[in-house]
Amino acid sequence: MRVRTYSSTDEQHQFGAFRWDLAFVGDDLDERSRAAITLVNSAAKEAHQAAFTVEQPHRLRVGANLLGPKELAKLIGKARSLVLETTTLGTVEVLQFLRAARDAHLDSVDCLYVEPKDYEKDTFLESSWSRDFSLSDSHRVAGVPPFLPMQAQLTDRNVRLVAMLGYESSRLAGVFEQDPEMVAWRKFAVVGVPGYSPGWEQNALANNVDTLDTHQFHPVRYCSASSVSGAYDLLTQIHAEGHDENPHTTVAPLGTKPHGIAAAMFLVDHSSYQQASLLYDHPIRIKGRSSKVRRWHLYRIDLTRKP
Amino acid sequence: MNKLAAAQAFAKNRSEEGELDLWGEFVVPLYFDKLSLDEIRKPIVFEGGRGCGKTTLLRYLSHATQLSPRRQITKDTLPKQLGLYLRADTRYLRAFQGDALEEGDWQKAFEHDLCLIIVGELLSTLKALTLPNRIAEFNEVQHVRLTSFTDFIGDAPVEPPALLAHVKRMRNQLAMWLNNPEDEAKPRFLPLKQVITALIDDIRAQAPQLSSTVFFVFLDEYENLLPYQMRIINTYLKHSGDPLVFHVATKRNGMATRETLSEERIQQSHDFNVFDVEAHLEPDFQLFAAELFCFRLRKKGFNVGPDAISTELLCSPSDLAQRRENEDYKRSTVEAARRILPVRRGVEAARSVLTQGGLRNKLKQQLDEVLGRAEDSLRADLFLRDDVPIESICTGALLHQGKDPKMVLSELEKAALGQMSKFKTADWSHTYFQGCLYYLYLPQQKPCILYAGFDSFISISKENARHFLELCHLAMLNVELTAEGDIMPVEPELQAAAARAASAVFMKETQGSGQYGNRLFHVANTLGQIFRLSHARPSQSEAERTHFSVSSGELSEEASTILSECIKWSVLFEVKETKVKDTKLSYADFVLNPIFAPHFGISYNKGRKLDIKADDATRLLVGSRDEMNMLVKGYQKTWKLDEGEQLSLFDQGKA
Amino acid sequence: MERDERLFIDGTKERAQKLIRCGAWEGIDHGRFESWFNQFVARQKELLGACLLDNFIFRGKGQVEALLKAALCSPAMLTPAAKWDGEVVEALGSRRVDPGIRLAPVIRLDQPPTKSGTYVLRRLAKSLRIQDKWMLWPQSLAEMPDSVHTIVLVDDFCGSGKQFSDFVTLTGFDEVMRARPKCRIVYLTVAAHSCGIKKVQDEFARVEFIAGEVLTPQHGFFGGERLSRIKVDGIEERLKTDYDAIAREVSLGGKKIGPYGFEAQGLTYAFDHGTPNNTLPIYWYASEDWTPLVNR
Repeated sequence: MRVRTYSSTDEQHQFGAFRWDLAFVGDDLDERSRAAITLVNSAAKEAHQAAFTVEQPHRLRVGANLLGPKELAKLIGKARSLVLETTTLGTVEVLQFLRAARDAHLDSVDCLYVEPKDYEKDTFLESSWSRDFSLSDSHRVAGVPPFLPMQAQLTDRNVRLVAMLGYESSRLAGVFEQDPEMVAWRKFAVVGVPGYSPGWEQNALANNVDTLDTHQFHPVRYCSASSVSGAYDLLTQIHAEGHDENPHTTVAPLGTKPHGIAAAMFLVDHSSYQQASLLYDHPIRIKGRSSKVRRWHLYRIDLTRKP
Repeated sequence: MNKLAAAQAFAKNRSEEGELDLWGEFVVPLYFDKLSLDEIRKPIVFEGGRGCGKTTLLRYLSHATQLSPRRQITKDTLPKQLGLYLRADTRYLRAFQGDALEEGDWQKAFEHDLCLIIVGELLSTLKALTLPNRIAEFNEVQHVRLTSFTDFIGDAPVEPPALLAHVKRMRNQLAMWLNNPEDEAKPRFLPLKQVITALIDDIRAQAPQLSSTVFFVFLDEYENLLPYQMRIINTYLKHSGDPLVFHVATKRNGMATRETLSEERIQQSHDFNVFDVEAHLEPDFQLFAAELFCFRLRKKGFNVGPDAISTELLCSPSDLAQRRENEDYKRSTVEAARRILPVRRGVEAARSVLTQGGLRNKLKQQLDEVLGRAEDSLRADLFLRDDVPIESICTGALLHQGKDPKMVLSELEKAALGQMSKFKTADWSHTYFQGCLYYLYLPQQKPCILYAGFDSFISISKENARHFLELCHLAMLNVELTAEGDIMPVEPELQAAAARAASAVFMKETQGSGQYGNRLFHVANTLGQIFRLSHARPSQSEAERTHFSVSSGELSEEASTILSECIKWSVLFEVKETKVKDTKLSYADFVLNPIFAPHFGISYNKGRKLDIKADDATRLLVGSRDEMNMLVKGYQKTWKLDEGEQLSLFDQGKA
Repeated sequence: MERDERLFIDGTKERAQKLIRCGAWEGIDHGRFESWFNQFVARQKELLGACLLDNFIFRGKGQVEALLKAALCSPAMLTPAAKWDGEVVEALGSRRVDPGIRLAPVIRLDQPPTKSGTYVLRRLAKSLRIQDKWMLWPQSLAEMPDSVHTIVLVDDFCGSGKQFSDFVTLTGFDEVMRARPKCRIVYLTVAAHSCGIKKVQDEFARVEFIAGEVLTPQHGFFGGERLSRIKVDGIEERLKTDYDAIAREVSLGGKKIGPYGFEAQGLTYAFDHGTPNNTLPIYWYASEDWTPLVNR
């Protein structure tokens, strides 16, 4: 897959001209989401709200219905142009839609993303970890078909973990609790540099450095926090290292949404022969999390190019 | 032998980093005979926090270790129970739900997966018995033909090695179907109990060495299961018995339901027994930790502890009595650990405080705060006497309590002359010395010296081998060797620093503690800060707080959930008030895990209790960041006010 | 000292050590780090040292490469007709087909040739596999074929914009620009300060500025938004007082640059291959009285 990115600080100037047949959006949580959903609603002929829940791993809720993979592909196949509003949609929703789009033989999928401003919080001197950003998100690891690992196979294979890191350190520490066998894997971390604003990546690094150190990660790799193509390139690069050893790459998209989109692309591209699986903690997002709009991105994913 | 080896001896201490085959590595815990394995026919629920050794124990009891190639086995020494170990894998098992199947079918799918894993383990057991050097003793095993399996899967092979490969393929097929139920064929779901018992019957019938072997299935991390999966396992627990007994391992509060697939529920004592690993470790933990300490260092070539410390003694369950009852052995093992990790307490600690500029100045400042208001003839220096260091250190607090400085000074002089003084008769030293030490160290760069020492490490780690080993690991990074290669005692200051570093690591780790990790971290952090404030009171008029209880009111359901999670993940320990008959959660005492004490500069011993009203407790457990901060500030204000009151009382007295 | 500060200082120091150990701050030497920080301990200004560390942005090799890639793949770099983000990089990677683009280093006289523009070109060649066939010295730009439609001038950091002006004067680049009115001129840097960008664009309206990341006055250590996030009263004044004391004591920055960095931008930014002089000298100034954390 390949990506063509369009970016703008002013959505009307460039983005106002986009039109789509079909759009999927998520929950309206804050100012950013509202702006994004508004744009999509006015530019798409048909728009539906979608959500993935852990209790229904084989389904995606679209509007009032629970759709399986075939139904999803059918719904998508009717459209000539599709946009996913990824500011509001979660990474798993993006993943399932991309897979459905590929099954429906769509040529391309657009992903809209609004980059946040004002993500910083206060610093309290009583702890230098107080750069933690959230308090009450709950995180539960659960697999997502069809990206479940086949356990019986993993023990014999050259498994590597690629964790895309964000600002909340607890997420990486939390996923490590889940699978003791991860200790034996080769572990890679991806941090968004440049971050949305210079210095933000220090938070991702600072919050995760303990886990990186304890679990002996390979040296951190970097790509722009808002770059889908950069992250996708990194994933394919890492996966290709040691290609003759039948590798299996477990991707943990715990960072920015653009990196999550790249992870989704990678997973859909490598879903055969158990080359890749998803490790995800399904955070429950709280309202009012981040606020204003910094920048608009449109990622046009070309599905016709095979890896 | 080099210095680094000493620290490396303690480096790998998570069971996952070790292997499944622990033969010769696993130090048998001193409670091992309490398990009475040969007599067990009732399921055990192994309960304990992370790092207490549950998983390692289960792996030790499973075939990979029992039938380790490193072990000599004959048909007489073959264990009477063979363990089959499995772990509840969250990522995978949580996908067994939803619309893709009827609920009843998910149950069958789950059973099928478990069945395949258990069959795999069973076959691996047979494989272990057919190693070349075992064929003589276990000749019949290699000829076992598992024909019963074909009753369920007609075209399955009957030779164990081929069947093992077949079962692996079946697991892959299940996984493929699970990944893609719309496109893949649904596999035939096997009925677990029938299949396993049929196979066991085959084995028993055909291999006389195994004719009375009982198979234990150990399911680890039970708390990760979905509710219906728990009900299924509970059903197995209820119907366990010769030849197949199920056991589970779980964190505290991990058994979310007692229901089974039928109307009946499982009951403790009737259907299963609980084995509280930490409670069983407690009586002998000091010895056990010392043994671990010596054993690990010996493995790296250091001559530590009595010569009896060896793989033969420690890694075999047959010598437990000797370890527990031989007084000489116990003494010399513990002494060996104490020699390398010495404490600095009492007079030594007091002396070293008085010689350190920063600490001495803090004491002086504490005295000046009170003396500054009194007559000029009493200078703080008068109270800093190197000949009675413990007593000197207590004087700051005594003055802040409003006691007359002249009186305190005269008691000090009495003590210096060896006469009876209030420091003894009124228990001043006994009551206030430790608290004063914590108080003096609080704002300093160096951590309190009371954290140093083998005995301190024991208290701080509270029956958690993992914590203990990490404390040793960090302490041993500072080790020095004699010319002969023996380990020299590690300086208490360095040990205390190691304790603080370890404490910070485990504090950070709370963030990864399950679904609410972030919140648990903040609960621990807020509590720690509150307790720290209580230690920071110059009057020490009430002893250090290290635990709390919830008074006047009920906790909300949300708050109770978080509290339960805190206990599950060992952020807090619950200590039931023995005099209170009511066993509701809100009437228990909750102790902050002492491993966090060095990070906050607070005491790791059980100090005074803090009564927290239900409203405040709710804020602590489920409040926002601001609410938590306000809670801390509230205590700060109250306690400062109290201090102020003490002083003004004194002023009035003077006038 | 406030008891809370102790935790912050120790925590920040430890974090920095871990960042060095795990490779995120690859290029900073552990021993140097200790010596640098001890200078604050000796002067009892540890909180200043910790805050400086806490806000330090260090770009190791891997991060520099990521920034360059971000710049070259950004929508601003691509032509409107481009089909995918990697088009420019892919074109520059071909040995045979002329991509119509040339890269040239922005040369500075105050830096040895191993730094800045030439260094960046080397990184581009290595990490993005850009063929050095398409890289030229500025003096050779005049002889380029007419088919060249884009010139990319490359540098590591644009702080005030002065380097670019000097470069244009030094190499006579304005001649080249005049001779090729249809050619696209791109000034590409790993990082830049918004004031510098403005100066370049004011002076050379035709030049398109693309930076891997952009710093603003808000990123200055003093007067920016960094310190305002710390919820302690008067913290900025306190730190400034301590900073000024050290600045006076060791003549931080020397006479030419001054204690707050070039044009007093007061940044906390450094590359592993060198540090812009717009960064606070307390990080990079080397003298008998002061050991730097990073190289200039």
